[in-house]
Amino acid sequence: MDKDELDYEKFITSFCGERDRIFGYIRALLPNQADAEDVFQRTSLVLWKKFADYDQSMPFLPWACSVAHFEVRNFARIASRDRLQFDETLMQQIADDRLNKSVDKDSRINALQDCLKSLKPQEKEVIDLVYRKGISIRAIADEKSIPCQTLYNQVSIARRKLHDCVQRKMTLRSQTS
Amino acid sequence: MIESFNKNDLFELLDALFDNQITVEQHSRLQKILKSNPAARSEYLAYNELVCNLNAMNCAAGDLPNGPPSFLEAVSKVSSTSSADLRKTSKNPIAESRIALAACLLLAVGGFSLLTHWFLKQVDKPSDFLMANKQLSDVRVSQISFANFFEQLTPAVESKLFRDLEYALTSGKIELGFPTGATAIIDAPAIFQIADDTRLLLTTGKCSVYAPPGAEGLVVDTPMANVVDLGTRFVVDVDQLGQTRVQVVEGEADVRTKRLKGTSNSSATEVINLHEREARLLINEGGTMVRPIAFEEGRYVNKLPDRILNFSTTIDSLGGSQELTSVSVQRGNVILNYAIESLIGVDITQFNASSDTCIIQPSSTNHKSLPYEQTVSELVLKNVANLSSGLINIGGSVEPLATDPILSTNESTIAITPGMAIRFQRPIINESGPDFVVFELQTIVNPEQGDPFHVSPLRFSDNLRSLTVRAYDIDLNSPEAKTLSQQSLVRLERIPQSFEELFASRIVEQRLHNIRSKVLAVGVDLSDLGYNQGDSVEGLFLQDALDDNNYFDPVFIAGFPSLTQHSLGN
Repeated sequence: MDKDELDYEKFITSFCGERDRIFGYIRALLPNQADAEDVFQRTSLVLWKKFADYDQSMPFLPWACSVAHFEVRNFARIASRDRLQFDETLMQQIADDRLNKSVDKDSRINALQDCLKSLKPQEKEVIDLVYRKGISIRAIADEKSIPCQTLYNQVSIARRKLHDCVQRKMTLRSQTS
Repeated sequence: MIESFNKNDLFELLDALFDNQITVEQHSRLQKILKSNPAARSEYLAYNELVCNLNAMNCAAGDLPNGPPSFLEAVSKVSSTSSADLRKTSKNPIAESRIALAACLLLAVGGFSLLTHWFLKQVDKPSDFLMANKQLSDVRVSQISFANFFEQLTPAVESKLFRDLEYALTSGKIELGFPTGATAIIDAPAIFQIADDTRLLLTTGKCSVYAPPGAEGLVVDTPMANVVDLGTRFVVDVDQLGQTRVQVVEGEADVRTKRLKGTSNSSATEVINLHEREARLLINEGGTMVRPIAFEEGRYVNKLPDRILNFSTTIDSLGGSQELTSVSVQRGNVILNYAIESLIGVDITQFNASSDTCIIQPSSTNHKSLPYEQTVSELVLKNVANLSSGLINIGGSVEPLATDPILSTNESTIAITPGMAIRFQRPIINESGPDFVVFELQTIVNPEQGDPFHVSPLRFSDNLRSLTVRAYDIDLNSPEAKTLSQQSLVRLERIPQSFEELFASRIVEQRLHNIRSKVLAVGVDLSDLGYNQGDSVEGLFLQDALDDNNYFDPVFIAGFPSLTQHSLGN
């Protein structure tokens, strides 16, 4: 195996191990999913391009997050004309909070799956259309001939129910574990 | 100060944020609450996690045609060592779907960050590692042309640059505006930094400075000298060894040489006052040596090339671009803004595709299952101004046409030329700069520069030739490239080899296009096809350049009105 192949193997191993954390870090700073995906894709390319500069005796995640943070700032600066973005002070606060917060992702997903079952059929349908099928609220509103705002309200109500439910389950879990 | 907050109010703001409905006032209020209250930030992070996990469900739906590739396959495609490899990513919809699914798996499989005990114990905060602890300067990007930066997104026009951050311009040109009123056009390849609002560090590359009266004092700091503007136009070239060439076009400038590291102390610094049409070369020969050199015409860059500058569209509820409303273009060094009503539309008169998936439509029209109610003509003839609609995957040839394209035939052995023939709804006139604009749909995993295409006359004559467009004025790296509202791909029962076959085809599938797409734009000057100034052109032929597996996807083409008409009309 030559050096390039070895580097590639090392990169893949490091990147696969931390990809969710890197994406989570970006998503916390960029609350729009599509923006976060764009920056994550960009960051993964930059990480690979800069991998030769990475000191492999140091942990991968902080280096990757530093690159991601820079890409987020760069993106936010450029995208601020199209979409409102958090300012740099708040981004830094959120980044710091995020690092000090333990996120049990698997438990949260499991809790979410349980909580989805507790939604009313109409709420379940709207969450399914918007999130699982990825259909825009405007398209659903057109199809169902109902005002967009009504749908936004329905999504908000269902989402907050899910949030409260997941939070309750996570609190219960931490108390019992 | 910690401000109390009402949880309902906070969640109303967060809902507006996550649904892209937030107003400027609400965003400002949300920021204030989040900044001043750690508990509110904690709620934000938890709610953000939930929305993120819900979003991940979209990619877990399993409604794509092929099984997912391995993660390693996806990374090897998406995270290749060079953008050249990325360009080879197929634009075949099925392949796209595979990549989309793989990309989604990156997000969906693992989910969102678990910061383990190990991490908290052993890892410093990312903020300690930031390269990004830089302050913004007041130096703005005033114009860009084909500009790309190494490992950085291209800054938007009017955005401010960071101070003390190294910018590596790998292609194109960028014009910087300093607070004093001075401007500097930097040509790639170049490495530069903004030291402060009156000092530009130029490590390598070419910089053409213009300082109108009252804007004097800008310093271009090179490895060998500081070039101080005294009210002038001058150009500084720095090669990779740091050797510096200075040439004054108008007015005057001081060249203050530096004492170089590692050279003898006897190499004193000096100040050389240069006047109009004087030039000097600074070289390192045991110290900075200054040599008079000949003034070279044309070295100074006083403007960026004519090009498409920007465009505007209507926006859907998710922020995606829909219908084109105006185009901003520089023609003959004059910036013009055309409302869509003033553009000259085109009719497609022939079409030979490369794929049976050759129509793209706004997704809001398609989430119905079989049988499909629309006909091809209904799809093709409506939503003309919608940038998420059009005929895509057009046919092509490696070599551009040198003879007239075949647009009709009665013989089965003679095929219609692969590509697309267009007719302007009224003839366009060849004038300065771009005469018509082409918008292309490009997914974010396809070539950043856009898909190359040939443009040919419908009737060749002695002076006329084909033009191959290989770079777009607004490419994927441009901040002006807009994300499109979601589209659906329409597959026909066969690959249409002519316009007649297209309209006679039956739709066999419509499905959501799962990859985010942006729209790129390029202006074409008819002079580049050999037309003389003032020539009138009724139609053209477009083909994919078949340089790779990605096909040209024009979603909107329009001619610009005559400059005379525009100036009269305005």
